Amino acid sequence: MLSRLNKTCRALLASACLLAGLGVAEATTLRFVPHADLQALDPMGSTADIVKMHGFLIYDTLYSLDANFVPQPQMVKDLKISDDRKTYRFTLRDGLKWHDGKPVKAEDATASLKRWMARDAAGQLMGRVLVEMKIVDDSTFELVFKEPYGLVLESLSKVASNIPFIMPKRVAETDPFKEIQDYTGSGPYRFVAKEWVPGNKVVYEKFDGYVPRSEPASAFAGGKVANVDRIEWLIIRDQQTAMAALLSGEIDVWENPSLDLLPVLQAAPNLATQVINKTGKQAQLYFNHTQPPFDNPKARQAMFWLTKQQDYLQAINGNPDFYRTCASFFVCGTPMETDAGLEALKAPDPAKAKALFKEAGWDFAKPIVVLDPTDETTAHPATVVTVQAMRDIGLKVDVQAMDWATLLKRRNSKEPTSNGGWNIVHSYTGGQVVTTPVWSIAFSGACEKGLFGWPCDQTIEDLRLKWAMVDGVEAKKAVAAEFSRRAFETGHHVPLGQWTTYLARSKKVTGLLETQDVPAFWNIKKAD
Amino acid sequence: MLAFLAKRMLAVIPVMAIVAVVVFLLLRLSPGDPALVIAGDNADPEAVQRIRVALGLDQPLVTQFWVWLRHMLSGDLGTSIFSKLPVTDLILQRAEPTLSLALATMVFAIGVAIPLGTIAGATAGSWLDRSLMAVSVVGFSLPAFVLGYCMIYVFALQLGWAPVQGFTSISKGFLPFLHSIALPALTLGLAYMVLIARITRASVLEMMGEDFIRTARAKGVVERLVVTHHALRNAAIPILTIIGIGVALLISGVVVIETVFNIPGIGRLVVDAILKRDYPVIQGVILLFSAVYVLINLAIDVGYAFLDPRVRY
Repeated sequence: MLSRLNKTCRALLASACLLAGLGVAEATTLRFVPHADLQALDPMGSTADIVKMHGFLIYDTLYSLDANFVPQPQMVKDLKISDDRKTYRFTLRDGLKWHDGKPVKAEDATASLKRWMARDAAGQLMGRVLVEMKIVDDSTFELVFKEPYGLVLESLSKVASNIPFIMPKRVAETDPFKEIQDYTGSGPYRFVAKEWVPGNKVVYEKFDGYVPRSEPASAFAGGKVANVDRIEWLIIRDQQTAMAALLSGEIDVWENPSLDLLPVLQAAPNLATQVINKTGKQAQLYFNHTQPPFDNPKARQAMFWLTKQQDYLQAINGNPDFYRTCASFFVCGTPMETDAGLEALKAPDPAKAKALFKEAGWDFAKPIVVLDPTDETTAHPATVVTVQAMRDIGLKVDVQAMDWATLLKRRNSKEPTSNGGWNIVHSYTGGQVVTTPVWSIAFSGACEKGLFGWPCDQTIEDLRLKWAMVDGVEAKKAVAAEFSRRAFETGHHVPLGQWTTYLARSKKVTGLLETQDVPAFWNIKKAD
Repeated sequence: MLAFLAKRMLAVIPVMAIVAVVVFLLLRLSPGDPALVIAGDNADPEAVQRIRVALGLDQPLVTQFWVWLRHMLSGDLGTSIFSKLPVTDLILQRAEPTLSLALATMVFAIGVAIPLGTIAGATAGSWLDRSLMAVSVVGFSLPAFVLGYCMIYVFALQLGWAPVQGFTSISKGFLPFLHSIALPALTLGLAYMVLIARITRASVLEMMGEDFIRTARAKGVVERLVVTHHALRNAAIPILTIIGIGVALLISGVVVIETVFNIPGIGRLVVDAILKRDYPVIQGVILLFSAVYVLINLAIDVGYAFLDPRVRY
């Protein structure tokens, strides 16, 4: 009886929707639930992954990183490097067009690089050794350096935000610290501004004028072939709702299901799960280097000896198939991985940690302030683990609970802990950001000009520059090891291990690339 | 009555002014900084400061307030710090789903609750009355989000009668609209339905013991008319009051339901804005909510006069 009623109701509802012309999904519309809402549209104005995903859809880059982390030409047809390695002459590919149909020119590329250099750490580093950007003709330009610089192609192809996306000159001339208002790109998809409902829906349409490279797609490199006509990002905050929507076929791909839903998703016959970013994410513990006890390197080193990455990863992720301990500042599995100087992370020793706190002259009766963002699903569990480990060796800990936005403000305070200051905060980042010593300000030793916590060490800064200047992977690895040893000596920050996430998709959807970072939307196919 | 209306409308102005000042100060004095959220985790202090300057957040509070007030008085609620879209546009984008959900919820709740509550009150102690009270306990005890998930599981996933999530505008047809709004409205409406039904029952029950009811019966009025014309009419004031409170409570209720059913309404807009510290959006929506509260109260007061001839302004 119920079954008959069910069939009747389904038929009636389906008919009603068909009559209204709404019930049937278009075969080439990909409905994708991203990990976050698109909060900004200017990839120079935000380092958020979601903004990066938006950027890769509508813009193109001169170079792109392939699945082996090797820079490959993307918008560039030809590169000539002078014998003294100081001049790089780039020639753009034929047929590159903006979404308004106008051709992409060399002046667009130089203006975009200029804006990027004002905002991005790697761009600023490159800017320090750049003498000039010279436009040779409509499709050719040169970068001229005062000395050979070892990171030109690596910087142009970097996947860690901010990415040097190429914009039209008129857009790229916007003040780097003001948001752009014109979203014309030259990427495989166009942003449909009139359909954007912040917090709910973002729409992209295939750009028919895009000419993909002929090479097969590999991560962010190779041919960006747009196979689906329309992409809709649907912002679904609730995990249960997103799962139900995927199970019912209302959405095609869900970027960030939580790990506890994995068994349900794997059991669904119409769904598949996939890891596209094996580089994953890395969590970190940051010190306030200006306030006791962590103004003393011995106390900072003590926290390395106290860190059991396994505990953190179990709390943050909880599934050993998806996490790995990694005694390295740079993500394990990438070229710069090194455990130099990090014996403490390989064999934690709470007794040694306690002894180091005593050597630092710390009074165990005084509280250490740890900021706890209770609404943040990575930093909060990491905080809980740290606090317990500290209490286990007799330290007094003052855990101050707050939301993430409040923490972002509080961690900028250099005041003593008695006056709104802090000692320890936790954070995490996409793995790509921490594959080298230069992509992230998190590795800075630039005191007040550096990251919150204000690590202050000229040797660290010199090593970052040295890493950028040396040529070749082996030479860079040697500098990375040197950097790692120094970062432990100074107790820069503590890496807490790394983990991957997975996405769930309908089996109708194929061709999702393993980018080792955020999802790419080219190469994807959706069956009828 | 007109003088009363004019006086009440004038009273809205100081209320809104106080709300504007309090909301502005609360936001600026509470911790959090949109520039930090925009800049992201890896931004250096100089970049954060330049964003702050670009947004005008480096200005003294009085200057910021004056700028905002000046724009507001000219009908401009400002621009979202994040999306760069006008706050008015953002609210208009979200108004239809929220209004639809609120309206459908109240139509369902009132349409079911008043007949049920009246019958239960008139037949106190009967099986219907006891059943209604039992449902009331369940309706009150079950959080809306739990009920929402149960509804999704049964009606969307198992039976396939309704979509899991999303909203279809009425401009795309009434049936698709109803299809998308039915589950959320039922979920949200249950709690209001039992609330209104309980008050209706209690009010009708109280009236049924009054002398005028006995008189009506003695005059030979049929029981149906005794209940609807005499008891229910006199019980209307508390029912109207609870409906007014219910409409006001809906504002918080829709936030949960909009999240569970992924409906792009004003509730989600303001929650997202609070998490990001998008000041102009928060200020605009809170002002709107305040105006709605004030107008609902006014409508209830006017309603009293229509329902009870003894009430005069």
